[in-house]
Amino acid sequence: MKFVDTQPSLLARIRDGTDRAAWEVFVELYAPVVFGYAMKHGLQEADAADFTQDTILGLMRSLKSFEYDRSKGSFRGWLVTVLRNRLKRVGLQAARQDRGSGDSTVLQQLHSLATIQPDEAWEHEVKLSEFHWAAQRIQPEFQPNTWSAFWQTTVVGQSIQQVAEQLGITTGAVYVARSRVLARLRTEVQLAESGWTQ
Amino acid sequence: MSTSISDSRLYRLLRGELNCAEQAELEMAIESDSVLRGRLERLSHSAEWPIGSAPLPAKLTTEHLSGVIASLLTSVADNSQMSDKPLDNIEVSEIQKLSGLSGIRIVRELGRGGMGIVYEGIDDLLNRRVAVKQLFPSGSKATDKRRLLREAQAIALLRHENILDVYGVALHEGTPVLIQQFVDGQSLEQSLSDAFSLELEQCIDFAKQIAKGLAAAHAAGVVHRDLKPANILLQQETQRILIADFGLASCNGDLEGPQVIAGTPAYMSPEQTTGELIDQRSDLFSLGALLYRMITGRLPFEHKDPHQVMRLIRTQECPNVRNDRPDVPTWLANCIEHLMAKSPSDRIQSAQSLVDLLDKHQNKKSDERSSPVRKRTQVVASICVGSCLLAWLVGYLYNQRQTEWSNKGSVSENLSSASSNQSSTATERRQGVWIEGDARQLQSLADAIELAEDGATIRVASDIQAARIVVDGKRLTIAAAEGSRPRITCLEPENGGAAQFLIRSRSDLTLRGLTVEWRPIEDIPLYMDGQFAALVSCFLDAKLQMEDCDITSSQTGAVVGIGGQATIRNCKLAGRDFAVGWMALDSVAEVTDCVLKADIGVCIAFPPIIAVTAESTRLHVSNTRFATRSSVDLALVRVPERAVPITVEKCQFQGASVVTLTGLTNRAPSLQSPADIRMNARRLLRWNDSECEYSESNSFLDARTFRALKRWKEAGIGSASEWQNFWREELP
Repeated sequence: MKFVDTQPSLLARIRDGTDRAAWEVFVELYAPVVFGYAMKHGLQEADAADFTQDTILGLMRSLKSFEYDRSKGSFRGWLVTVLRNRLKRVGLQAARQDRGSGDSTVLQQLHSLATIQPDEAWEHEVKLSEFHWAAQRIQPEFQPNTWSAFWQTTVVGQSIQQVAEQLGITTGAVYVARSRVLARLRTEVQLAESGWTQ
Repeated sequence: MSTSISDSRLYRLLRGELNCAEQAELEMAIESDSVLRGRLERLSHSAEWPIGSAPLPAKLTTEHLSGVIASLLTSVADNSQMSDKPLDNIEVSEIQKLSGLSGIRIVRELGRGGMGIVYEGIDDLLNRRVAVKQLFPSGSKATDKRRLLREAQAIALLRHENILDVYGVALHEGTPVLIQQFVDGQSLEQSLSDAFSLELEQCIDFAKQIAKGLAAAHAAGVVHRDLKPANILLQQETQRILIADFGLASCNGDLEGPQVIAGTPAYMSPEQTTGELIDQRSDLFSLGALLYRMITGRLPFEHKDPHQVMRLIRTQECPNVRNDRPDVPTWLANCIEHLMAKSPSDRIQSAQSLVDLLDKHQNKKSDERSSPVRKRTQVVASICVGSCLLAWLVGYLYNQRQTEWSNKGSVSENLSSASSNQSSTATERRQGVWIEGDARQLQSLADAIELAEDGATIRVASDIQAARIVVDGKRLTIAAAEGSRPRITCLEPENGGAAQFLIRSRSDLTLRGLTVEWRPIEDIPLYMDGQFAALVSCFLDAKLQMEDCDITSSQTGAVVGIGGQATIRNCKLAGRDFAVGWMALDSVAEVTDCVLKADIGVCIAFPPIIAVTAESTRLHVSNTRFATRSSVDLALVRVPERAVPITVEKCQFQGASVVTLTGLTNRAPSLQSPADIRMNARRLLRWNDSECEYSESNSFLDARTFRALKRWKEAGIGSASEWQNFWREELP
């Protein structure tokens, strides 16, 4: 037996149930993911919001009661299974409630559930959410110019040249600034991820 | 050109470690050299984000989503939604056999007992929480080890819903380690010290559950030998009792040979105090003592010297519980007396008979309540059952103890007259709560606060429970009555607002000689209603004086001030999130001769989140001990307009770090050179310390981010001695 790892992972901290900071990270990271995922599968905004709230609360309870079994695969894989099942159930409930027969949105939902490959969409949502979560956290560490150089070129989609002109710096400086932020961003995301995959 | 620039140089560039000239030089090189640019991007980019090909989508923000996040964060904070049943559509992992004991991760320490430390751990293999009990690594004597192994051996035989499960035993670096069931709750000792005494029905229910567990253990030939409230765990949600720590239990057949006197004297049986051979009936005596304690809140035999306690256990008859609580039914009083008979052969003979006895009375009671239609017949029936039982019990007692009664009659008479004397002297002294110079006996502290006039002193003589108290526009003192040390137990928070003692603006409260405890079941968020949650909370422009008080809060901070003035002397302040948080705006805090403890947060924070403007703002701490596993956070300065004067004298620090500098100051990109950083420290603080003890092993300064800490260190003010020297030198 080894007495190691007294610094608990994010997962362990969540299971502890008293670590609010860990829960907050969880909500900030995953609520947008679940919401985006639900929207992509044809739920209306208000329904997606309800779905997100129910799902995140459900996940919290499940994590607390150890239903996620690490030996059965990755955390994300587990999460997407849960999500898919819940979404199906929501779709079925909606169909059963029969909000006017032949309701095209309900049919559309069921249709999209059957056709979309959820894992791919899911991975994309997770990565995007992680990106924005980490960006928000690290932004204060950088000078405004450095940050703009990164943001304008990666998220807004302007060219290096354009941004260099706007900021009155060299293109080399834009490259360096963007790389510096990205390198920092990567470590921040790794920090968040290590909690799950460790 | 590209090849002459090493990867490590590029890494330094990415980490922002190069100076301006070096960085500018590389930027130029990168501009003209696409190979070098490629290298830089490979080092920095993650394959996760295809930068450059297409812009990343912006963050999804809609009102709906932000609403959901806000509401989820609230439920995270109140935690109440998380205790429901789990999601239903997830495969539950197969219970696998515990193979070896590897893969247990220790999460935190739960507590320390006489023999070892108990940790909370996570069993990765089975994905469950466990309690890990380890002998103190330093003083693991062979007898302790044998004892612990015997403990495992004994309980491994037992499986019962009222006995704490032992999953396995292992040797870790030569010391035995037990892997046990994790219980979300607290020990009965904890409940009793919180609640003083319990409801009768609850006492009976707990006693029955303990008896059931004991019956199972006794049937397996295991005697507990150390039954006491600290060894009884109470599962919070289900109110299920679990007997733990069969630490001194002996397995069947292990009773030969001289017995070492072991166990806590207060709950020992008479035969245990003399080191005689004991059997299961010894546990029944202990259970009687435990029941006595649950009902009266006191121990049956009290003395500060443990040897005297043992003598009393052997020689004195147990006082009648009805002296303390006249509402105890006769059958229950008799039952306790019967359990606590001096001679084992005079006691209730088995745990199972006790279960049966308690069962009968419980059923009788619930029958009485169940159907009003059949009330009459039931009353008649229960009188019959009751009187039959009573007759049986009385007859039994009479037969069993006729000889003893006859020669001890005079002793018990003396005892009862002694106790009535005691109660008559007690009534002469005032009890409860009153206002000095006012003859009225008051129902509660809240009433007293309501009635008290400006400048009045409220006296408290006995342990009381208190709902939320608000002092508004008055000067008041709440003090212990002379010669008493009352404990004020605060109730669960109601209608939001975490503070239990709230001092509003232009009010003045003095607390003296009180023990105030708050152990709400509900989890309370660190920050609510625009303030940090704490047991005592002081508004802007209010005053708080505390002397000789003991303030403990298990779910919040102990004392918080949003401005105002605090003078705290000779107090022990312990909170979960912090001991003292005194922040913002023109406030003064003086802390002298105190012990400040914080479980997971800071000891003392003095963070002016709003700009400090007044000259008078200051923090002065002397002769005080700080203890936390987290950072002490002696200065958590954020956006000051004026340096905050902090003076510490003759203090001892035990924590991960002492001073915390955080907020914008760390991030200000203009602060590059060590000279700038040093200058900036002078803008934040006016530090003064003398004769303090800082622990060598921990870092002195905390800056919350590694980068900022590195900067402070580079500026030569990272360690305690550097810090001290820095404040002694004159800056230009």
